[in-house]
Amino acid sequence: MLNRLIATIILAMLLASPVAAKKYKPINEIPGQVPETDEEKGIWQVGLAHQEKVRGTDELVNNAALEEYLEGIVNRLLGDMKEQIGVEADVLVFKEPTVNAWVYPNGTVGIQTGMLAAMENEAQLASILGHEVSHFLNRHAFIQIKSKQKQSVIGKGLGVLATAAVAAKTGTVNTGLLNSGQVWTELVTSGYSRKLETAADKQGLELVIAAGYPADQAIPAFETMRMDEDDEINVAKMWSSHPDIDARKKNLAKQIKRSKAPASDQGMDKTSYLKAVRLAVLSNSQLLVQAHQYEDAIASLSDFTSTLNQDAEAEFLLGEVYRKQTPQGNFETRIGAYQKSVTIKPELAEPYRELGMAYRQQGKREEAAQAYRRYLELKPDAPDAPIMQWYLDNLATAEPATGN
Amino acid sequence: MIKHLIKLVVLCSVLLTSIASAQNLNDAYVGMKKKEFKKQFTHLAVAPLVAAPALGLPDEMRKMITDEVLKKLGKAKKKLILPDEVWKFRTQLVSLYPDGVTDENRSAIDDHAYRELLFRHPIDGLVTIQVLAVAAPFNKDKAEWGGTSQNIKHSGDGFIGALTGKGYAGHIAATSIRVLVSDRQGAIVYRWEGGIEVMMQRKGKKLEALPKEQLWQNERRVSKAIRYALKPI
Repeated sequence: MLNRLIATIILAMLLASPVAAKKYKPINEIPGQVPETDEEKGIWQVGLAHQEKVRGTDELVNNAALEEYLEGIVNRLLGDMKEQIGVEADVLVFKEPTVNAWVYPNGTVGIQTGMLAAMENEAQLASILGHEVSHFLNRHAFIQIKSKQKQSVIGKGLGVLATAAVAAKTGTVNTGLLNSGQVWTELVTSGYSRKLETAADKQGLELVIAAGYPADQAIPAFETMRMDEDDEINVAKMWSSHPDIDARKKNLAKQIKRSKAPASDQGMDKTSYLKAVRLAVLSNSQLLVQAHQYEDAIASLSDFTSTLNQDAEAEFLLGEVYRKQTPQGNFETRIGAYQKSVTIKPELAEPYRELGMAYRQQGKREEAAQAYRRYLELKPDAPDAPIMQWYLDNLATAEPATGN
Repeated sequence: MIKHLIKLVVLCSVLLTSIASAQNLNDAYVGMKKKEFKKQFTHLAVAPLVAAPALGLPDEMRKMITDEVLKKLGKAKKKLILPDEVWKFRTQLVSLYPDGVTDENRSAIDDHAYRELLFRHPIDGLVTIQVLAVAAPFNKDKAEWGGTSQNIKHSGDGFIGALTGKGYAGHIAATSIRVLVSDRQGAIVYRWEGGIEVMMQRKGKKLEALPKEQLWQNERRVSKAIRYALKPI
């Protein structure tokens, strides 16, 4: 009797699974029909409203070349599916130093500068984007929100559904509810079940292999995120709901072995990757400085400048991080960075100003005067030109800093 | 036996209250503990008090607040660079521009004024005193914020309303003193506010601004706000 009951339950489960799978077909299997229902349409609209709200604002890096590069990777991962789905790849780069990426229900990828700076090469980034593209292809945002609605687990998910319901009915979205860039990480991505995350890992890797990237770069990509787990500031909530890194790596390693993917060196060149995401890395370093995370900014910029040996702006930025970290010290390191900057690009004015300031602090009047003069030659109309002229005029009486 | 029990309950509630208030005061320190702050921030520069002109803070009150803050910091054994000295170099920099401070040069002036302050003085941090308007929560015509409370003047409830009392709750504009300490890199390490007084009165269901001449009349409330803003130090 008991055996028959167990058998019935197992049979029911087996029968139920295809029904559930059929209920939410992947997007590439139902081209042109997604979103299928008003409810799903409403969820898309919430996501679109958020994109609309941030697009073109200072929250984003807003660089066409950078977006084009990232969209190129997404297109490569989608392969033939791109035509089937009829969706244009779209990537928004958010100025946030945390390591995070997500996908909106309509397929637009949101990625933070912290994530771009954390990756070592394009192949690693492709692993992350593959994972996100997989969430999109399988409509995970919608499935997850539906599941939360069923379970009535959290108000946050229900909040999205309520907003979505209003959006579907009225065609307008209350953007007041979408007041921060964290909206999707809070409401959707942080809430993916481990089952969905594991599925996205699996399909993401398949997309990476199909696109010709080396599969094994997924492992260091996820390992980079583990480094942030101990760092409260850098842990994005999204990853806290992901399966733990060790389990994930183990699964990925097994899948890589089974896939017998041919060896590839595509997307492995660190220099070309850093050139492509240069603006994001520099912007991220500035954000780290604003957050007083000087060590992280120095590590990121040092790695960047040692790889791209001839970047004057990055060298200057590195000097500025040293200065801000220790306003009355770090003279050798910061002067070194400023000097390297003007050696690469002698017409860059700002490093001369900072050289002048640093030499003045040290009581090196001749060197300071020379640097101030050069700054004023290059930027006579700078807002701080009268101040620099005053420093220059009064160098004779300037003593080395007492505040050092 | 009952007496002992009552004593115990009273003792426990006193202890709990003091623990709770101690925890709250510790929230004033950002990213560090009080002990670290005391050890690391001994030499402080004090910037001139900042208050929005719309608040109508009288000059004598401005001076009184500054003097009391300096006195209290002195008592806390802090070595101080006075506001006049802090402001001196900025004034000098402003004089370099024929049009004075403009949107274009403001950040250059402020940045170099602060850099020069660090250049000239071995300070550990900068103290900023702000007088500002805040939204204070109120319930049954009593506002409570920043370690203080104040009954809201009210009228227009009618005879029955005045007799039975109205149960209005919400937020009301009030003034506070905020004291900030930032480190040499500009990161805020201390932030605490003391409530001064409400700026509005209730007329029936509406809140209206109090006449300006009724504000800044109570020195005791201002002193209390300063004490509270610096209490964690």
